[in-house]
Amino acid sequence: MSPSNPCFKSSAMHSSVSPSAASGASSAQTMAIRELEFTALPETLEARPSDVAALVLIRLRGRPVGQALLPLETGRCTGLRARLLAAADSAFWEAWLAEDLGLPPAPRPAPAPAATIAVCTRDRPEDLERCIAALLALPDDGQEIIIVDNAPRTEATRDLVARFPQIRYLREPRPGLDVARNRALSEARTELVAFTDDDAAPDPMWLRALLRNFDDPLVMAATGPTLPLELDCQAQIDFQHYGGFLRGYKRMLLDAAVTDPFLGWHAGAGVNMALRRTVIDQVGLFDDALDAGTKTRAGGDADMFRRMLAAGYRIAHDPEALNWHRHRRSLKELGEQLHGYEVAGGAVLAKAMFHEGNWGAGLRFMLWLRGELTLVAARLLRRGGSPLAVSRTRIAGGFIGLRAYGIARRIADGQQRAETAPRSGPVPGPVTGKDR
Amino acid sequence: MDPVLSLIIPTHNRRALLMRLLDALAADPGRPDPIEILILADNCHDDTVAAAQARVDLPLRVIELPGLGPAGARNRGAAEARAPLLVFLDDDVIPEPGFLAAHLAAHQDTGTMADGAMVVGSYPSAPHASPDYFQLLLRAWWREHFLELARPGHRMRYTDVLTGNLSVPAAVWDRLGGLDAAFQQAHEDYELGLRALTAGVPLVHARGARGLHYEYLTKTPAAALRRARDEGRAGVAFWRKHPQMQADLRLYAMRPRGLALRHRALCAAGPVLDAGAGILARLLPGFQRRGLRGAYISVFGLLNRYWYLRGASEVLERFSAWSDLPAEPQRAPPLPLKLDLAQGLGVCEARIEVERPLQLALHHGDRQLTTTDLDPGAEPWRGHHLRPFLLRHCGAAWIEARFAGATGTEDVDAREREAATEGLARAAPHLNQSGAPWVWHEQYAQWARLLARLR
Repeated sequence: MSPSNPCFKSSAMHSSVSPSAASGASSAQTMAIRELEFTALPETLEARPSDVAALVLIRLRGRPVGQALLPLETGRCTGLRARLLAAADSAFWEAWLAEDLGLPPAPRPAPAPAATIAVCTRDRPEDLERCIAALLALPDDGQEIIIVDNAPRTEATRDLVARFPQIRYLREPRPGLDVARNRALSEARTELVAFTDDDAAPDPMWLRALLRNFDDPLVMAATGPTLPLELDCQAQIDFQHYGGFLRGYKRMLLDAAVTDPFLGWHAGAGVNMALRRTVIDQVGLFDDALDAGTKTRAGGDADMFRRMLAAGYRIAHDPEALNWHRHRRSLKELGEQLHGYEVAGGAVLAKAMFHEGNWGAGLRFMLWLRGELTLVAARLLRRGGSPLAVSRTRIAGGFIGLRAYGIARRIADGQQRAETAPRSGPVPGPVTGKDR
Repeated sequence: MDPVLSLIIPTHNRRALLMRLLDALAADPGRPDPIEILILADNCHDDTVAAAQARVDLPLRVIELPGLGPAGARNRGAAEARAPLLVFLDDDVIPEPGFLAAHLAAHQDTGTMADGAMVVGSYPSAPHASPDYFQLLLRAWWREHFLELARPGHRMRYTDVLTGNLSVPAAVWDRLGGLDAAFQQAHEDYELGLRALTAGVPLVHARGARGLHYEYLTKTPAAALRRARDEGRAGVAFWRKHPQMQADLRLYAMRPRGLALRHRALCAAGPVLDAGAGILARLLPGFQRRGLRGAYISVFGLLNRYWYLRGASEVLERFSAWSDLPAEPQRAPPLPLKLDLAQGLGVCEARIEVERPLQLALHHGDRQLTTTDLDPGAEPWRGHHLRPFLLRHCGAAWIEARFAGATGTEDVDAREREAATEGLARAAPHLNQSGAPWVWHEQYAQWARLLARLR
């Protein structure tokens, strides 16, 4: 659920346009989302009258190759081909060029062996139902689907999953997204485990596209682009504009020789990733003091990517492993989500700094702070920058995160001890955290 | 029966790895037969010689040498070999099944055994995850090198010739005179590659001739810095022997300019500065332990440059010797082959294949696309180089030309042409870039444009 840790983001990215600047589209406005095959384009794109623009995923001979944003007039866009050519990104042009020169991309290697798909969920049966429908529409390569019901308040999830006998249901009573992910990893029966979120709906080729990246024995994780399922309100448009989960439409191979492990989140997010199960032995489990359900609020995936890269493994981002995600609908939820990313960024740095003795994390925190303060200064001097309220939230989030990790760590350790302690045994004493 | 090929393996105190290498050869079901294997045990103090001689499962001969260095050992191996094809393999490269067969086939397929080609195979790092920054950098260098070698349309260069995994017909080896003993420690393979290229010997990459390089077991930062010093020495020898290639040398990029304080200091007080470099090198483990990746990479790069220049200064001795290095010989540049791509790529490829030019001047109708750089270290152009070149280096110009409809044969509508020009102008700077932060720059620009339109 945590796509990115803006704590780590270079100041260059949020100095361009701040999320609140997206208010050019008023709250009653919506955007259309289309997947279009470039070799068979209609003359006109038709959408709802309320759609002021369209986000177009361009496919070329079936492969997703790029995107364009098109303004619409009363929900229509005519002369579509020319409009797309004017608005398409460089990834599209690279694909067009290769096609035109008769240099099609290399054929896909045979799909990897069967995998497990794990969905961690908590009390969102409506979203989950859509997710399950999408997963059941994937070609059957022998994959097993696991739903981890994380500390549910109702039986709705269990009842929903009971309708699909081919799906394995697991209940994880201890709350926390990373706790649920670890449960899925340890219960999976296959070497490769793909994760998605309950509020997502993967493309039919999603799993195959993810798995083919594991032909390199050093690739420990594969990710893909995640696009919005709907852009029906301001919060969703803002999130997408802010960067969303998108990492572009070009294949990337992250390796610590080139990418600083702290930028591991550039690879993608937990909503769209597959891991080797051997990660448990080689790198370790997800950190149960991180991500949703803890004080650190996000960052479990970013921390995992960081540790993979630091251990010398690679992460592949495959643009054909498409997933679709329903973004938060209210501005309040969006604000909390973005604030959560700041907290998580600080938390991951605190973990590296204070628990692993990594001074590089301290350096990175200073760099981040300098970038944020530069933005504040720019704003005060009326030379761009983000709105002060945004800066304040971001900076506060980073500092809260520094402290949040220690607290979350103590709580998680207490829970672990409570779980492993024999029922009849002595009650665990107060947790001091000194034994870390 | 005479062997069809002689496999020449120089080795120096790496018994365990050498045994693994021999195990891999013994287990290869596609191994050509008969072959001979020459182990050049160069100044070995471990029991390499005894262990190798005990291998009765392979047709091998062990030759003990007093410490000739790798180049001398390879020359000696070539002199001892009885087969018409010489295959060179390093002692830390474990060949994959079909390795020798692929080398042999590459010479037979192209019918080059008679004309003589030089066949290189790849030997990327054995998959090994390590948090060690040095190992990561090393692995990345090799990965990039062999990815480029295997890329469609790669123009072979003299720097692709590495003796770690190479095969040459004995006749060609003799004609070229083998490795130059003046390059005892480094770049003896580049130097051979350059002479081969100049002599018109085709350089070929054989995909099946693969091995895995277990460098992580043998290479340390200290060894890499010693190697940088050797490369500095070799750089001077290379410049002196092949002044026409100087602009391609690392030494050239590091030649003295302006006050050249570094170069003067190195010639005057090298041993004193070495102590400073030693202190700096002792910081590296601390940077590693504390996760100071940027500091490690910067300091290691600094030390690498230091030792390279130090090696060069040792050979040059005096600062004034820098100016005695031979100047680039003046030669009339060849006329580039002028091609009109509007005639069709197939037609152009066929012409390149016939003419084998050193340089191309590419046009599309009356539109000039580009003139390729003259690279004296690369093989002449081949037909199959053209399209990948356009894709990687000339994409925007090609797309523009295509939409301009300069051919007159295609009916591209004017509105589309305008749209493509507009879109391409924005996308062109990002062509062939990938990864952060380009993704975000481009995406933000898309959104900024949209929001400006909506406002």
